[in-house]
Amino acid sequence: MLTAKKVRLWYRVHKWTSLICTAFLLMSCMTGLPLIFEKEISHLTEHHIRAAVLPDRAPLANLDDMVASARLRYPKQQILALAWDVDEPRVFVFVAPGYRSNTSHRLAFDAHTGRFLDEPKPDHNFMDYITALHVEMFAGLPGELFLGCMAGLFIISLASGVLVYGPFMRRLEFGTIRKNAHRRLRWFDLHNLIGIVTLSWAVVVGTTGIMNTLSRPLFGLWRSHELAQLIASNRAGLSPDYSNSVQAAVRAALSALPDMQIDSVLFPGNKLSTSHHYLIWMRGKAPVTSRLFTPVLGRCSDRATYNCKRAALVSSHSRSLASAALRRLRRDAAQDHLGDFRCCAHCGATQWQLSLALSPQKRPSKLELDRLVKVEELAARETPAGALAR
Amino acid sequence: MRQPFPFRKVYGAASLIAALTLFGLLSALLGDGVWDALSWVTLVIPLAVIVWMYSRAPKASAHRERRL
Repeated sequence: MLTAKKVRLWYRVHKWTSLICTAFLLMSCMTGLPLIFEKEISHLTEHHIRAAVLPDRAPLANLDDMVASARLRYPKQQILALAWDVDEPRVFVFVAPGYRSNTSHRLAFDAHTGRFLDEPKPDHNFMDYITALHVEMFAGLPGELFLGCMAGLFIISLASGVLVYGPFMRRLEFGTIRKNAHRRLRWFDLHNLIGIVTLSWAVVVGTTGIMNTLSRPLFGLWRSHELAQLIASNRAGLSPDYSNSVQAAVRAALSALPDMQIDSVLFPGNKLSTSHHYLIWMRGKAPVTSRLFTPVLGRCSDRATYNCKRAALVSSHSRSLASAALRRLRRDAAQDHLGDFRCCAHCGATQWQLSLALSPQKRPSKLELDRLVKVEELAARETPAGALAR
Repeated sequence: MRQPFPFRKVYGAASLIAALTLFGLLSALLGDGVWDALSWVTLVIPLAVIVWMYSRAPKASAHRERRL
């Protein structure tokens, strides 16, 4: 077991890693909470015309007609992407003034009838600010990576917390709260209880958080290596022809991977795609596989050639990759911590930490450490009976 | 000799709760229907334990706690 000296060291690691990351964790928790209910909030606040209720197997409308209709509405703008609504049979067509433009807006179409439904307001609402704060603190990639570092500190703080939990709890029953002791000792007990009980949850939040912050560089890497190779191997006789049918591309992708469904299509020219291909993101149909994304390239100038490349990645990892591509288009960021399961229970635990560590008083944990050292020294020097007769 | 570290006493309940939480998170992620219900149950457990332990603790000055 740990010597008193090591416990002291780990205690210090625990204190400082927690102190540094706690403010950012608090921010992440507070922004994460509304993001959990993002869909519900946007349903409440956004004007929304529902798609017609038809049986699941009803034939789907032609995507080319939707694209044409969007072009007609915005003749001077570019089509960026198509995305399928998860909850309703709706297809969103994303339109922007230019491929490199930072603002895009979307038109909603009925997936079955092909009817234009409505145009949700441009994405500059409250929830977008919350998302930006949560993901990158308005600082782009550096902000994202910084938050990743904070999540790393959080993991270290959790690990060191588990290490020092042992010696502190050695003589106490699990979950002891000494209510009649000093207020700070009571807090200390509560801190230990909340911390250890929510541990695995917090570890999951921290690690998935780190993975998400790496999604953008990983996606860039994938694009510059794998995607570039894929394109290079099919470059012969390529000429951009944007008029090719997206419907044909989607049909070919579906026949190439019949057990999958379409998630979204990035149009040629989109900065997340290539200049000559439809980048079609597909996903499975079962609960597990629906989080595994497979990109399919559909070449525009030659609709017979489709390259299928399965992204052999595990769930949350590939989800990150895919969502990095779609983040601008679909406000998806909230789903990133383990898909449907999004949480922020560690808030309470870290706040105990903060209040304990910032106190000028001699902390109960400090007293406990002193006592431990004493016990250790006694044990080393004295007869065993003397050390344990307490 | 000092007593060996009481690993099971200190980390036993905590490991069980950690395992249940992981099970709950995975079942929420990977399953539907019954698995969702299972995840609700298992994920409530940590919160229930906190509330239970806190309310179970004897009220202040109910008995004299030995110092630390």
